[in-house]
Amino acid sequence: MILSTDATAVANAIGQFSESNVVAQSITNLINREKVAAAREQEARRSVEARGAAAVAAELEALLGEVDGSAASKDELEQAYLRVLNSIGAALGRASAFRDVEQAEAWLEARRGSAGGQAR
Amino acid sequence: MRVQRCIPLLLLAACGSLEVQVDVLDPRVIEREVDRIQFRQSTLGTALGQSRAELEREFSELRAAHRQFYVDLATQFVEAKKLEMAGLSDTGEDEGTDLLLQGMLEGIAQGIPALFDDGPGKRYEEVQEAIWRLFLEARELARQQDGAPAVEAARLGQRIQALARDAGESKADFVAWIEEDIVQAVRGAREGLDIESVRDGLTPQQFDAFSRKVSRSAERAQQAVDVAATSLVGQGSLFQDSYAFAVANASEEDWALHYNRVFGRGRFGDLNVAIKMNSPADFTLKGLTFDPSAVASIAAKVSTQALLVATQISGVPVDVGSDGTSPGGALAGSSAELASMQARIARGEALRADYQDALITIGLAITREADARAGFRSRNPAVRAKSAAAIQATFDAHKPRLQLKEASAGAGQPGGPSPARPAPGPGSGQDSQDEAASKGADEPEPALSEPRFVEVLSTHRKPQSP
Repeated sequence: MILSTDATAVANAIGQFSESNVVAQSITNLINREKVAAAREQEARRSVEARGAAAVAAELEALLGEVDGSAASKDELEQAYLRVLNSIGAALGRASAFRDVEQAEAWLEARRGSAGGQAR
Repeated sequence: MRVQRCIPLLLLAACGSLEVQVDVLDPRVIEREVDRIQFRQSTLGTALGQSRAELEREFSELRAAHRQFYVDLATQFVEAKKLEMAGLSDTGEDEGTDLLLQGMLEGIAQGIPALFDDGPGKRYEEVQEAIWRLFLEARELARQQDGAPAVEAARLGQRIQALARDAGESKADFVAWIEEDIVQAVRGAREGLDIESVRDGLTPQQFDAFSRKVSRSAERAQQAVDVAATSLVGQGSLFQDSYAFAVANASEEDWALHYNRVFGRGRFGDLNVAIKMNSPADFTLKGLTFDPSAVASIAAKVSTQALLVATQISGVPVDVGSDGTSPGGALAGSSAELASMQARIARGEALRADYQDALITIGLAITREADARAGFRSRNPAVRAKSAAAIQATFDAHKPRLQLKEASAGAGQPGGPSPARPAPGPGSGQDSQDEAASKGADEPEPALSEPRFVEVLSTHRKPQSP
């Protein structure tokens, strides 16, 4: 058919080929298969991560709810906030617990710097 | 490699070709073949090799067949004549006359072979003798040819060939004469018969059968004529030709190519070519139409497709646009899905970055409050309570960012600094916190999913250490 001299038929055939959604989708997916795969992976990971994030949020809320700012002593507050900081560190992927608040601060600042570097 | 994938689309192109070619064969090829056939049919071979006894036998066989034909014809003539007379007898002639006539007829029939012997039969001996004389002459020359010089031998050879050809032609002429004689004899016999009387002598059934036989053969003859008339090449076909093998077997250089050629070619466009055969092997171009109007639409479609594919190969989604009728609409439509896919990936990454940033922000809010004067390390319970309240407020403000969900438009907290500002505490940290908070509040509120959000949050600064 492609060798025909009937140009109208050739034009129509090419048109039908190009206007076919299946063909168009296939071409698009074929030449962008890495992106398609990444998007699928993203979709799959998203709900899992969302559940993890919700759990972290609940944990932090509970830990902060335990803190009684007016009644607790200085050391109790220190310990309570260190627990919160450890929870945050674990959520951000830190393996070990923080020794004290200063160590947590240094680590968090470093994280922010590296995350900011990535973001920009 | 990616570019190669779109090349087939660019190569989709139309073309067509029609060609009629008539080639001509060197006529000498056929002449050579004629000579060869004649020689094989023993003009020269017979002239030099056939014995007198063989020649006589050949002629006597021919004569016997010819004579037998006369005998058969006479027999059939008498039979037919009897039928004719039977038809006549109904008219009232007396039987005695019939018998007499029959006797006469049989006498004539018996006399016919003798008539042949006296008439046509005599020519056999004459022709046979003439041919034999040519043979003898050719053989005498062949004897002289042995040992003669080359030029003389060649001359003698030509004369021998001529004699042999004469002998062959004499024989062929004689055979043709025999055939003509037979035709004449049949015609003479027919003229001597009265067909109406023949019909009277037959029963109706016999005559019907005879008529059917005649009409059937007439039909067959008509069909043969029709087939010959409707055939494209008519009598020009090689199939019935005794020289077909010579034609088919002729070497390439004996053919003259490029004789009577007709071409029709088209690239793109609608092309119609009419080629007419005037007569066998004579072609002419009768007409041609060419309509290039569709070429533009092919070019547009092909190049649009190629461009769309190339765009997607480069990783750039194509906007579908408002009109779905433009060429490549489907491809552009599928590209829109790709675009939303890429947007989802980007959004997901932004949400994750935002989530982590929110955690860090909350953590840093706590560490910022770890201050002996203005934070929760203060000896003053009131200061500690305010500090705890500030931390709680920061957490409440950033809690929505921990959900990894896109904020629906107008709902939820924008990710800006907490609207419930941290309680001002004594000390140098207070000013800087206020400054940070007011700076954040002055910023336009960006959507949660925007990466820009991260930048806004990073305006939080740690209070100055005492």
